[in-house]
Amino acid sequence: MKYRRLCFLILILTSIINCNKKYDLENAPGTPTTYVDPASKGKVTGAGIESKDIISMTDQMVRDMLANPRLAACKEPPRIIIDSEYFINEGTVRINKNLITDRLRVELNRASQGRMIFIGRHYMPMIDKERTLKREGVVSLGTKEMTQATLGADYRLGGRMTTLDEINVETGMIERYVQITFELVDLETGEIVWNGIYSFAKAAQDDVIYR
Amino acid sequence: MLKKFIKFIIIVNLVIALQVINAKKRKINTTDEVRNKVNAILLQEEIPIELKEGFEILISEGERNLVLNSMRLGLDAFQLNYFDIAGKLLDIAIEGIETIYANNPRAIKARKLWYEEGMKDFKGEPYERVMAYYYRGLLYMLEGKYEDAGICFRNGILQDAFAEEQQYRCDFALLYFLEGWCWQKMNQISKAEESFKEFKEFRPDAPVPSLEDNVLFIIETGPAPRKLADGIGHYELKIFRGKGERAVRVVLYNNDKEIKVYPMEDIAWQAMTRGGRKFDKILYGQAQFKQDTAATASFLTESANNAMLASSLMRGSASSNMQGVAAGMAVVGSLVTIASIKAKPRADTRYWDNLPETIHIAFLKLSPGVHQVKIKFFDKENNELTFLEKQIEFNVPSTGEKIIYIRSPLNLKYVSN
Repeated sequence: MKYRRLCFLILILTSIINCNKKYDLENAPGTPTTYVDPASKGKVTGAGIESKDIISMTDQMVRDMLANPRLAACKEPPRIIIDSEYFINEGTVRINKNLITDRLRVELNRASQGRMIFIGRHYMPMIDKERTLKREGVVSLGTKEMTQATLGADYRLGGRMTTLDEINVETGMIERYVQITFELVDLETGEIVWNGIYSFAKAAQDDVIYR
Repeated sequence: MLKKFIKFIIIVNLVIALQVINAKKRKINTTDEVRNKVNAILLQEEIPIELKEGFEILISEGERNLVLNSMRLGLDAFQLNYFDIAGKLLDIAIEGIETIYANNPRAIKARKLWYEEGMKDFKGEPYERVMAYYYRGLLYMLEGKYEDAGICFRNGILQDAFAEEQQYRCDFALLYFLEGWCWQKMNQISKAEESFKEFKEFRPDAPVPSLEDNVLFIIETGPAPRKLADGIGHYELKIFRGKGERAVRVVLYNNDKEIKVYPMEDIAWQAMTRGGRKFDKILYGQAQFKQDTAATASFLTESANNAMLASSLMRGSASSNMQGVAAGMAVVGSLVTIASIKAKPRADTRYWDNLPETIHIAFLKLSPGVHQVKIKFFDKENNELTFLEKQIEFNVPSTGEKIIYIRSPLNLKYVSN
């Protein structure tokens, strides 16, 4: 009887051990996306830009621009164009660049309180249309006087978004370093009167079933 | 004692069977999630009648096949010139591709011994992911958005790096070419040169466009590569060339002048040389388990039979003891058989089946205005495939470029040809 029980026990244990067979693969369930310090050596790498990045990046740029006396402490407020026309994405992150430039313009306009004037050059067709209608007498004048021309700008935003992507095929880890530069260029002289840089790195690992 | 044990085993088996039945009843319904996602992306846009059936399938098959169906339907829409809808569908596919699956319940399930790999949400093999970015990039190019197109091609290059074996990494020459074309049209000449340099490493005999070239032909031919499961329990994923007639050479005539069309990329070759997957090791282990347990079960059943035969030759308590051993071995043997049957090491063979086999490229400088070209297709034996011949008329703008996309024959998944 004891022998029989022992036999059953051994057979059942063997079956259970077989069922729970471990595979020699590291980190099978994958690792959720995590932020890593770009200044330190990354685990390996990659992922995209999130809302958190846009918010902290634009906040940092706004503070930096407002602290620049050539922009925020002029006797006459400088006229600035901030749009994505010359803000080039050379990286691998698919993003609507207006997310960044719109937030930057809105935050700067709000925080500068008239110390800078922002020109909506991206609304040019709309402005042209209304000006033409007014001048042709199709619509009445507004409450303000007509001007010879629309406002010219002193500075315009330029910039570049670049990425460095690395893949570790062994672990399926992808690491992405994103660097975004912002520059305000004098539209008469070409001088770069202000620039700022924002960078971060992210690493993520997919589940082993996708490797 | 033995009878009690057998009763216990039967009860345990019944409980397991009930749990399996209940689990099947609790099947997750992801149809609504997909419907909401599709509605949010299409923004109530009118769906063309040819694509309606495809959209119904896309929604009804839920999250598990969302990426696959978006790829298939997106390419259908692309071939039928519904570029806007194609772009939106490919965006859905790319969103799925870029999602990092960490602790995803369906992914966890698919890793288990008792479920097929096909349980997982489809993301495709590297060549399929590359093609999703390629088509999205082409759509941006057709809109003249070279910056966004370049981003897609670079992402495609990145996806190709997931093909495991070193010698086959990032060798998608087509993407380097298209990236170079985009840089060139953005007047980023040094970057264009870098891309074309990489491109020439893989296609040293291919021509490189000059700044003056303003018309680009992208011609796709042949059937999609196929995925098949092979080996014990179908654990091994194998990729083959698609079946059917195919054009391997394309000739383009502009005013009777022959223009060289270069066979830029062999998608089937890219798919077949993808290298091994990490998950293949797990599937191999599961297949081994299935094989080992089947052998153990067979041994136990046979031993039980032998023990039962032997007991008939014995007498008294020795005979009953031997019968007990035989019954025990039979019970354990049946349990191991169940485990062997339940193990599903089958590889996922879902694939993007309306992809082309070959992509041919031609470019030239044409004066602004209306032009006509004739495109002829030839098979491996250099016989002309007249039923594929195309004649097209297009307008070259005075500024900018003209991109012409041709698929011959059309390969529509959800639309009847």
